[in-house]
Amino acid sequence: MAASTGSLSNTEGEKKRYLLRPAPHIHSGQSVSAVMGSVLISLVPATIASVILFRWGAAQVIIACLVGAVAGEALCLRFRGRPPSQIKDLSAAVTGLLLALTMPPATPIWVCLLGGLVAVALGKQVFGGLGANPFNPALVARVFLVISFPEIMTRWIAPFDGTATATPLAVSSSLGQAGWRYFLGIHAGCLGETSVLALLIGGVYLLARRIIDWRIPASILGTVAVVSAVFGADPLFQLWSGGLMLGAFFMATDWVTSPYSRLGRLYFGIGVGLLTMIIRLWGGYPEGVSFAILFMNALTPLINLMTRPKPQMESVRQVKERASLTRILVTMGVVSAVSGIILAIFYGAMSPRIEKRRQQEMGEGFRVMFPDAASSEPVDLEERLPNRVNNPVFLVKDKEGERMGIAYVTTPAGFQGDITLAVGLDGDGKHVVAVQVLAHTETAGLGSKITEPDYLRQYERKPISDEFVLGKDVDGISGATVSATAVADGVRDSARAVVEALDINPADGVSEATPSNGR
Amino acid sequence: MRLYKVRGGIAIPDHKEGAHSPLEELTPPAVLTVSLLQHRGASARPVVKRGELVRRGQCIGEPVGLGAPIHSPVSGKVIEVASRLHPSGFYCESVVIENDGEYVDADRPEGIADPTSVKPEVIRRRVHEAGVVGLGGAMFPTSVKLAPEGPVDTLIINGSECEPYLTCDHRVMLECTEDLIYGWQALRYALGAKRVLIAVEANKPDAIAKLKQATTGMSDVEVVTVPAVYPQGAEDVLIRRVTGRRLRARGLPAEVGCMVHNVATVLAVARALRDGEPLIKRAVTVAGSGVQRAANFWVAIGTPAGHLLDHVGRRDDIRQLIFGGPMMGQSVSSEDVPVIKGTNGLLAIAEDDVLEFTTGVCLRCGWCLDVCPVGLEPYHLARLAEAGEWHEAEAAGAMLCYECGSCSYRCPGRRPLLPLIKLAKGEILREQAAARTRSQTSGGVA
Ligand code: SF4
Ligand code: SF4
Repeated sequence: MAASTGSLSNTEGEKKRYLLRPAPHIHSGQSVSAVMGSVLISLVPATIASVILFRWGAAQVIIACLVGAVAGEALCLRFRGRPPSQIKDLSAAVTGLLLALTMPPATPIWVCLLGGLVAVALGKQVFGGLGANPFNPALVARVFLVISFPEIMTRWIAPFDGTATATPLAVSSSLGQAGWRYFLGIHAGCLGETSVLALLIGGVYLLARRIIDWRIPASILGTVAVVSAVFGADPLFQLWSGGLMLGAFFMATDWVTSPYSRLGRLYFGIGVGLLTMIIRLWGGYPEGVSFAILFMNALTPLINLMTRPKPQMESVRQVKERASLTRILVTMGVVSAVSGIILAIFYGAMSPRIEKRRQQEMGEGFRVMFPDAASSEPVDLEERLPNRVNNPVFLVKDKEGERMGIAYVTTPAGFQGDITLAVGLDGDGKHVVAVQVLAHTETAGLGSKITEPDYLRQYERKPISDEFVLGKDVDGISGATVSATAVADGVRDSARAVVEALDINPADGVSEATPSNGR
Repeated sequence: MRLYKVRGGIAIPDHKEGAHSPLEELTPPAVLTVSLLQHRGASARPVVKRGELVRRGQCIGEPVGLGAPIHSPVSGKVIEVASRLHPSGFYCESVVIENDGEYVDADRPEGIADPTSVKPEVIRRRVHEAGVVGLGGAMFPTSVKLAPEGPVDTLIINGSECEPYLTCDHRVMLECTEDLIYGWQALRYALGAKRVLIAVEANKPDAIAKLKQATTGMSDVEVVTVPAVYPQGAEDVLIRRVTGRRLRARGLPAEVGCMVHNVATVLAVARALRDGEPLIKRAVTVAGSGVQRAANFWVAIGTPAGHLLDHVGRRDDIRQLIFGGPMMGQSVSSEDVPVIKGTNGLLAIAEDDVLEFTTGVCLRCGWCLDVCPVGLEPYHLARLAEAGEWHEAEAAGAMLCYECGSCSYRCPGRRPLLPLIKLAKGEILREQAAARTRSQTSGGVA
């Protein structure tokens, strides 16, 4: 072995200086723009679905929100003296698209532009830009718009044909046979709250890319399902409506505004689920997801403090404490799971009986309209009734067991929300006996006049074959034409539909429908 | 064998292109620079002078306090004892030796055929005299680890080699299996350990098969396949993985009855005892996008990086040189920087693959927290470091950081997490040292 001379030659001449960099010298390749790009990709199915469903109405909203958000970002970066190249991180585009998906289709363009601007400027940049905002920017803008323009932000159109309609959560509370329509998204709603399928595809993509943590959507959806089962709401309907999927997969999972730790994310998701159901079940607002997420955003710093990880190499004493804490958590988890299951089973066993009780009570209620009635009997007409008439319909009987009247509840759409009407017809189904307003959200002092007994008295003994036209055979209410028309049309349409569904032959008045005790 | 769960960790593309290149004997260069800082502790004191003739294996540096002696890797003449660049990036006192190409050996102690035939103290002394230190990178004197504070029942041989690109330990396991068996039997005997666990990452199936075959019938030795998760080779992670035992904060492995030695160290121990050979060469991987081929060499300590590059063929566009792996390795400015005992790899990185230093914003994704094997909150530590809150950083556990770099690797915001944490650690150490001096001087006055 002899000494090599290789390096001698190399020591001659100019020595090359190498770059000095701190370790580590490699990177996973993830970056803000790559992640935001993945989020945009994951939103493509929902975006396409909304354009298929709502056509140009959706496309215009999406474009306007994107333009608003990106322009807002450009302006803010300029004012804050930041390099305009930061736009390339795509975060403004994500915010814009997410906002678009929370908007009703056919929202005026200027509202969308304003929304995009507000999302980026007030939702993000005022706090110091990307990574510093406490609240989800898209939801900040949505809530801003809902509060500022309540009428525009609740103007829904039906898919495909674009006619005005109501949004599902405001109309009913169960899926019934229409489940698949919800899954595909063929119903009215915000752009992105419609197609469960499209949202799931995007959500699964983000989960597979490990960009979002499964703990957040899983805990939100799980909590909503359990709470709705326990309180007697249709869990599937609660999961598939009101933007819950959009919120659970795309809004609540926002990195910046959700907790750092995995445990914290679990708490966060449970909180969002609980708040959503509280708002939906007991609040006045049918759609609670946005508020629930924003509220939990506010709690995120607290959750972060509560769930700070303990370094692995603790002293032995700390290990013991940690173990007992784990035990407490596990115990708590088991207890709540067991009680949840028991409650669910109990509710499952009780619900037919509860339902029967409720129907009986309702039947009793109708007897106010029929003071001479001896009994009432529910008739299940589920498939034969239009959407806006509640099942079952009640047949009111006299002492001899003869049918002396028909009673039911209908919910026509009023000026601001649904009007819940109780309607009584005579036994032949030819005349209205009485109309009562059970619930409404019409303007106080104007639309609310529809509830006055003097006003409603005009419907007594009115033939259902009448035209029910305001100013012609029905009195209007000045300043509340929409409300009054809603009542008149609601009574006429429902009465005719119920009579038809009951198959009452006006000639002999014999019913062929089979009475049942309901489901 | 049961494996235990360890928090954090990341899967990194392993780039073990050199795994199939057998170890080649690399002819030492004409001039070698032997650093006198090749162990944890203070620099060794040179015991040779300029102009002196040295033989191969002759002691040229004596430790001052904690440390290990340093030997001449070749025979020849001491040209200079002077300050030279060290892989750490600092200048350190070094002995520059001109290779005479004769390789005349100094007197060696007699080899020990059966390590269990001598007293444990003899093994400890011989390991110390041979200058053996932890070759996994820490360079902690091995003889010190042979006199643990408490009883050790489990000797763990670390063959995980979790850093991407590096393959020298892998080759040692394949090519020097018999030496390793001798080495760990000696270590086990000296420690009085009951069992030996050889932990190898699952991405080295050939090494696992070879070791399993070589150890069949040894009841107290077990080859354990550990998952290929970075940083599997970190001492605490490995102990936890194979024994389930947890170390106290900054505690020593012996406190939980364990001792961990890297395979390269075990080999050095075997050579020191059986052949009386001091630690003057080691296995080194040369790889990276800046070289023509990935290779593994037996390299004389003191060989400059450029000499290794010459042997694999460089590409024109090398812009970065790294001593060690891509995760924890040190970037050096010159190819004059010599291989030291702790050098397990040399990476040459081409222009396009140099990772730019970035200072992005935190997106609060929590990924750094998920991957940290210690369970620290890197985003928080980094923020404290930026604010200069050293005390807060210390309270948040900055000193527990392994410096594994997983957090930086994973961060989508491309925050310089590890550099900031290192900055905080440096400042905390400085303050601690200052506090010590203060208390000493005030004590002197009183
Ligand atoms: S470098 Fe330190 S803080 Fe970062 S992951 Fe590794 S141990 Fe944790
Ligand atoms: S990985 Fe980076 S962006 Fe994510 S929380 Fe940690 S520091 Fe922030």
